[in-house]
Amino acid sequence: MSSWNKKRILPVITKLLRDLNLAEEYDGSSMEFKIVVQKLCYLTQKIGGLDFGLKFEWLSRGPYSRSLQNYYHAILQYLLHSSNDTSLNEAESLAISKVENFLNTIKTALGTLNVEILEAVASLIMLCSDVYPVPEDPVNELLKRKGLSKEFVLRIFEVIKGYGICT
Amino acid sequence: MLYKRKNRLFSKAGVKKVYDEVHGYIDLTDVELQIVDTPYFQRLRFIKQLAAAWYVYPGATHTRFSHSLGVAHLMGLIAENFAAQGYIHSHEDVQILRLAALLHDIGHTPFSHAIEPMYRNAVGIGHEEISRLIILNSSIRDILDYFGYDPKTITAIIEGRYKEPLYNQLLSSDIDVDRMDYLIRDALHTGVTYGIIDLHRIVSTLVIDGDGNLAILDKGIDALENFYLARLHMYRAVYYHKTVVGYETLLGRIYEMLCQHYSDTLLPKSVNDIKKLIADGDIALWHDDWLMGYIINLYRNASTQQKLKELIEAFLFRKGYKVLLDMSKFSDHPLDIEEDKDVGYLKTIAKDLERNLSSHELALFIDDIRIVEEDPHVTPKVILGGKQSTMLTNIESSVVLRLPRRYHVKRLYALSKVWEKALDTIQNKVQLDA
Repeated sequence: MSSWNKKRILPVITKLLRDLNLAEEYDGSSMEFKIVVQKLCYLTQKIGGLDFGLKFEWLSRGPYSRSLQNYYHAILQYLLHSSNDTSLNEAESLAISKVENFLNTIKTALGTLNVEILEAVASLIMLCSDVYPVPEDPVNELLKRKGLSKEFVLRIFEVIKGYGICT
Repeated sequence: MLYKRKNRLFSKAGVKKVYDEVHGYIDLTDVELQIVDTPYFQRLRFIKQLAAAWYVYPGATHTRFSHSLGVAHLMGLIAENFAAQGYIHSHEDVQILRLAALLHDIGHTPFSHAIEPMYRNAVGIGHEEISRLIILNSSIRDILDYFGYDPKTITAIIEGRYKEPLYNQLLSSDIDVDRMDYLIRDALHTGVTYGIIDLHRIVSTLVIDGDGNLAILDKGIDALENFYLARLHMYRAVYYHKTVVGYETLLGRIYEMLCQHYSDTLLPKSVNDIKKLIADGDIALWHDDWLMGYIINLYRNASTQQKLKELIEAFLFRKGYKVLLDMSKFSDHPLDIEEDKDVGYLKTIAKDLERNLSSHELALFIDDIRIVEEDPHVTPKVILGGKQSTMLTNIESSVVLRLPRRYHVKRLYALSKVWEKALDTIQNKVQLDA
């Protein structure tokens, strides 16, 4: 059995929300907050390499883990009541650092980081690595489903390719 | 291996009809029939849909076999509707969806939800993963290959990672074909009439919104609300009924002890054991009836450990866990097991009782059931006025908005034979505390 611990989602995702200024951007009771939490958890597993034991399905809004429905409220409470110096172990700190580097590169490429960008980033990665069958052209596959501009998706795609995904 | 003929779904030529108590005649295509005839699928005839609920509802003896046929049938109805509306592009895909629906429960353990938590917690495997292993490593794979269907497409839909999100939603979402079938089938067999749903209204008003999500036309909103209400009632009256949970917990305990003390290929203890079970074909015997036979033999054997024997006796003669304290309640938030005061109280009582009772005579059952989730990924959409797609939970006039979001089940049980003694102990403690 794997050694994942879903409880560790709380400090890891809280730190990411704070460091990336997403906690201020999205009200904890909003629908956007739930999308942000889903995508950050997905990226922490995929980019950060931290295994929370979450399984993600492919839905119209990108990767989605049913188990996370139990954590939206807890993450919000954690955000409100925990300090920023919550102890993180070495693997968690490394994973956070990888995700932040990656998302900061995305932010530099696109000028901002918001829920739409997170959804597009996570969706492209999932299309390239978890969806079956892997589409020949993930960019067009995403464009087919979303009313996004091609230029926007291509810019994200370039960053992702730079990280060795979707190559 | 040779199979009789290639698939001819839409000509209906060569189809077999099976009479189903819920849906009437269900047509099976050639490929479906070949799959149904495998020992892997026939196994589902011996796995009851509601595990041990027949201890409370004598009619609840229906099986995963009939449920699987029903889900495939419903998937066909909806997928053909969607194909006619242009949301599904080929009739080949209708067949693929029906196959995924037919096979979605192929990996259930004996007594399904009573035993599965042990595999999830101790082995890290659930029935979806076992389904994948069976489909990809048995004659089912050969049949799918022969008829020209990619087995990995079927497993991807079952696991919710197929490239078409709509296909994943049809099999797994708040209003999926699995739930539609089991709600109506379970209501019928238990006799819990408030669990019945208006299936045809839901099916006929299902559409796809502009974002590719499953949605329902506003004229179907009453049927959708009823679906949620029916589900809530079924959770309380059937799936989490105090006695049903007691017997399923008991069965889970017995199975855990079997795995600890006995070695048998039909008691797999790892993913590799399960793979071996599939490869040998013995998995066809891994079902409710096998387990009942196994525990009856142990009960008759003089050398069986006393505690295990007591639990088996309690199960066989309906003297199982009886609820001592029930602190279940509705809530709008997920249950925090570590912080919840009721759970803490139940644990304290259980600890007190363990001074005079053996741990196998007591059982704590805690669960957190989602009734409605406000989540943009999965909450069903309603098409208002033929245009705007809105989340059901955002519609002010919908009764769903007023429903509690969660049902927290928090109970302490004791075996029937020590129940009165345990109750006296609790009452004495309460008086002393007061």
